[in-house]
Amino acid sequence: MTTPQVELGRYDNPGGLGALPRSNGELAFDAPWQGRLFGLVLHLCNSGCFEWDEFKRHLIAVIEDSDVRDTRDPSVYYRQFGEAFCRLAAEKNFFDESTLEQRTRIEAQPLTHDHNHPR
Amino acid sequence: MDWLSLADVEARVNALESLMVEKGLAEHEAVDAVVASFENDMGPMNGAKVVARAWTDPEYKQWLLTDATAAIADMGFTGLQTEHLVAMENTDERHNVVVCTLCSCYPWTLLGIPPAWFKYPQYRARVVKEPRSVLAEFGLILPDTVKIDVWDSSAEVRYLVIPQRPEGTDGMTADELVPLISRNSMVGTALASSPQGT
Repeated sequence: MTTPQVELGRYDNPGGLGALPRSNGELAFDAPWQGRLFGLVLHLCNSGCFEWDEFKRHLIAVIEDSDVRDTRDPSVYYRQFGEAFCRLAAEKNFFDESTLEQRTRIEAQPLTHDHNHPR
Repeated sequence: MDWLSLADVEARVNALESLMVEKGLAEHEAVDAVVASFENDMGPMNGAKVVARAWTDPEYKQWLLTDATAAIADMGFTGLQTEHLVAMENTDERHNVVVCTLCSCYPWTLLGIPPAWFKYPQYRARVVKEPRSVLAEFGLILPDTVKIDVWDSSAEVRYLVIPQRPEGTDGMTADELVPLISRNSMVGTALASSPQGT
């Protein structure tokens, strides 16, 4: 059941702008999408899609552009994190914004509930 | 693109991941592995502790089966999508498996961040119609004599499966049992592991 730990040091900026939200030293999330987004961006960086410093520049810019500088709240921080990734994705031509908007609408649609089973 | 005012941020993150996978730059399973690597106390370990206590303490198990929300609160697990938890016990005659057909509701403070497959439309659509086949694809082949109940999570109710305690674990303490209890066994797509690692 042991899983190799990701070395987070290179992705963090403790005490600085863009520092990862933590609670008692552990990463803090208050919804699953935040962890999923963080995992996706780390995976893409580890796979060589971009350098972490490239992403970090966008993250710091997003935080500076917003009115919210206190990023200890995971729900705020990871929204800024997502916006930073989208800016990087645009720079790298990973996808265009209209494609993402369209896919988001598809993902938001519930499946049809057409069956009977214990509820 | 202003994420701070985004209404459905979960759909946006799912869209990002699916686009990157389609482009061949990411793999769902690799994201699962990264997520698993940084999950700590919040991972499936919390659910495993609950199950291990239920296996070793009959009174606690009864409490878990009758009022799971209160029983897990007794172990310090409250809120964040476990407010209305129902525990279902696997037996020789009955196996339980959990899905969220509408979105991806999940007792994540007990089980960690949901794996990619829990959100796949194929899993969500198929497990209710042909659970035996889907479980077989997970490597879990159940005898025809075992009835399979599929439980559909919702914003109101989340489910925790109590897997059967494996044979050969008599005398083991709750702490010793925890490593045998995987996330998938608490969703119902696997059995608990035996002490021999099978």
